[in-house]
Amino acid sequence: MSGGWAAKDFCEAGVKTLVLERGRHVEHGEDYIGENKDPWNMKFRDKVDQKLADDRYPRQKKCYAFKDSTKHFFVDDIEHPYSTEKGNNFEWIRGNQLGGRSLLWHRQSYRWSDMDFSSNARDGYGTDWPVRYKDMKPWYDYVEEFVGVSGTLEGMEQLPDGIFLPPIGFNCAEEEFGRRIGNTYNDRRLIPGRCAHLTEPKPIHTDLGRGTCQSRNQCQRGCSLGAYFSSQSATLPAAKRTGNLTIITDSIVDSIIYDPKNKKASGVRVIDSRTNITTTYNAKVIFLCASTLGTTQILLNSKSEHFKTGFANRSDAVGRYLMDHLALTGARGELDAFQDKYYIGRKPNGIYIPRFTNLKHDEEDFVRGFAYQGGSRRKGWDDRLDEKGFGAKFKESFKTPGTWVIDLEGYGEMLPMANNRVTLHKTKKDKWGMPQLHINAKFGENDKKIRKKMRETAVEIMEKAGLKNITTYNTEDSLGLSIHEMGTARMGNDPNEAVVNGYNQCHDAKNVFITDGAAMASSACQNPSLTYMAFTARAVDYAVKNMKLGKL
Amino acid sequence: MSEGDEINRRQLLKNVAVMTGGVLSVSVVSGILSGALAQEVISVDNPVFKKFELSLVAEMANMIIPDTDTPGAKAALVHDYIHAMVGDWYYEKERANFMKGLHSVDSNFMNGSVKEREIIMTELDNEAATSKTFFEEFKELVLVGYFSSQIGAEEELRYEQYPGPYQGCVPFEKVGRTWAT
Repeated sequence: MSGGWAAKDFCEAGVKTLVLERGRHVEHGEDYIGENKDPWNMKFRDKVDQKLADDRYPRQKKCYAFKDSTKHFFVDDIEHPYSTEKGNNFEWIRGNQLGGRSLLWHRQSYRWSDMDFSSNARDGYGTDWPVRYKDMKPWYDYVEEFVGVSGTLEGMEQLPDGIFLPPIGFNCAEEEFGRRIGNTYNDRRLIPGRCAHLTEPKPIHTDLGRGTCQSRNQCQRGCSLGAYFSSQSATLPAAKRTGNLTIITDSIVDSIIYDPKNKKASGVRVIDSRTNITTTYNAKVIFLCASTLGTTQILLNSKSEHFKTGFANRSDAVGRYLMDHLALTGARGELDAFQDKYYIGRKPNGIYIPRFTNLKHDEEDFVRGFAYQGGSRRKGWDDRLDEKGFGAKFKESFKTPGTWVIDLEGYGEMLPMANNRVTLHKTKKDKWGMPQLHINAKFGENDKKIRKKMRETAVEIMEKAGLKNITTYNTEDSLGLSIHEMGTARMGNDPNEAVVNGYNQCHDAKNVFITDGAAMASSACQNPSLTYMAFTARAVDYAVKNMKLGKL
Repeated sequence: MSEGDEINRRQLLKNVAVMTGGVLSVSVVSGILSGALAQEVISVDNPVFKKFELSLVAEMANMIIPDTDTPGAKAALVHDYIHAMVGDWYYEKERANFMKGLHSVDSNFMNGSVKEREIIMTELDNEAATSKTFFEEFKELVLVGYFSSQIGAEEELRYEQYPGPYQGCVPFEKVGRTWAT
């Protein structure tokens, strides 16, 4: 995700750029082997062979998007091992291929607000962000326009508006639910999700061969229409057309090489994943966009006389302050209306209730806050698998869709805590000889309070909106499964406290930038990808300017 | 593929081309032109059902989802899907349980009259309502197998591979039947 942006913006600035990808090549369109598969032509009807899933993908199979038609975009867990501290499980969901998890993401795209960038300063958890919304706004504008984000203008301070394509709007039940919430609460509003789907493509999109979303909602299989944003559909082709791009796949970055004389990195050491042959690539400037934990592994493995505990780790913050979003808990209810209404299309977007607690002051018994994501659909045959009945009438009954169900899932902010930490395992290595990561993280008291509050409040909102048959759900052992892991090489002004400065530049090595989730100093409650993109574009701009000034 | 289908697909292709600014990849063009591909025969790697067992599965499945104005479970080859699941997807223990359950179905089922079969089915269905039984598992397989088959998805219910831009609130008659997916 961030790597594609770095490649595009460097190439467009006229800089010869080398992209090193640890996984295989994935060609846009051609390698989306699950695309266009009808359910009846998948032997297990898109379920992954149980034995294969258990044997090779015991962790990846817990991801909602892991299916027979998508499984080739997930790593084989046996080939890519890591360990966790006993009692503190963490699911690390990965897509090691060109395009990485930009092929697999859920495409929800939200800006962070001033409240989010000042949260650490306000309550003292974590280290203060060196940036505020005004610093990020032009870069959000810039990336949104290129990505193509659909959404609505709402004028909410806690969730800044952006440059939007027309929304993938509500269905009848969502609209009614939103109306009832608006009638009940002054502080809560239901809005269409903001998602990276082209609803009305502009030349900036069609020039790259991207087209309008067809509501297949099978995005993680890959979309050769380029209707959702991925590195394959957008940033890499944009980089390629400049003539400045070189991509080398199957190349695992093992470590960064430090040159103490120039106080800079001179290059990276790379292992060919097929031959195990080691190569060194030198560069003026290095951007680490290997995903949060991938980047962390490289940093920790880059030990030298100068950096005894890992690259650019004078602060000892590398590997610490791991966060994920608090999710996989919420409620579901039924709306008794619109039996004569339906929809056309598999909606690839949801609904959103922006954060409404602790906006100006901490009035709750926890700090920070949460938002809701969700959606509504009419029940179908797959909701009725254990129903009594058989025969002609029973069969006929499935022709009519069931009642409208509405889901709300909490998305809460997790606090950055020093002890939520990843380290290199002391003895275990992977098949390429790289030390494995050892993850030791758990929810804290504040996190648990938010989880509980999200669940309870979802029920309260649904009750007040007159929904029926309300039930709750909760997967407590879910750390990692929001797939928003971040924070392990955090940003901050103080070199003794943080790894990178306000331009994602390593305090301890000025020509190395970290622009994936590792650089995040807090997690907010919004999906983070758009913010990674904005930070990456901003950092490239800064790097290019300094290269031109001869400072890098 | 009928002539009408052919024309519809060409129209869809045109529509998508307009919406995408005219640039379509080879895989999209072939995906749309071929439309929904005909259901292929499922190859079972570990064919555990003997002939009479496969027939029993097919007959029972067709009692749950019979032929009406559209073909039922047997025509949709739901028994082949169940064979694949039990033979190739299940673990040994799950398979043994399934076979045990299948063998416990009253031996009069296959030889019985329609009336007798219905009595046996009703009994099985009533038991399943109160406890986790073989029949509950069986029925689930039948429903999944049927509604994800081409007949179940396209004829009994509605299915579109390329639904087009999302329309969130339309009169039900415009769709007519439940979406299969």
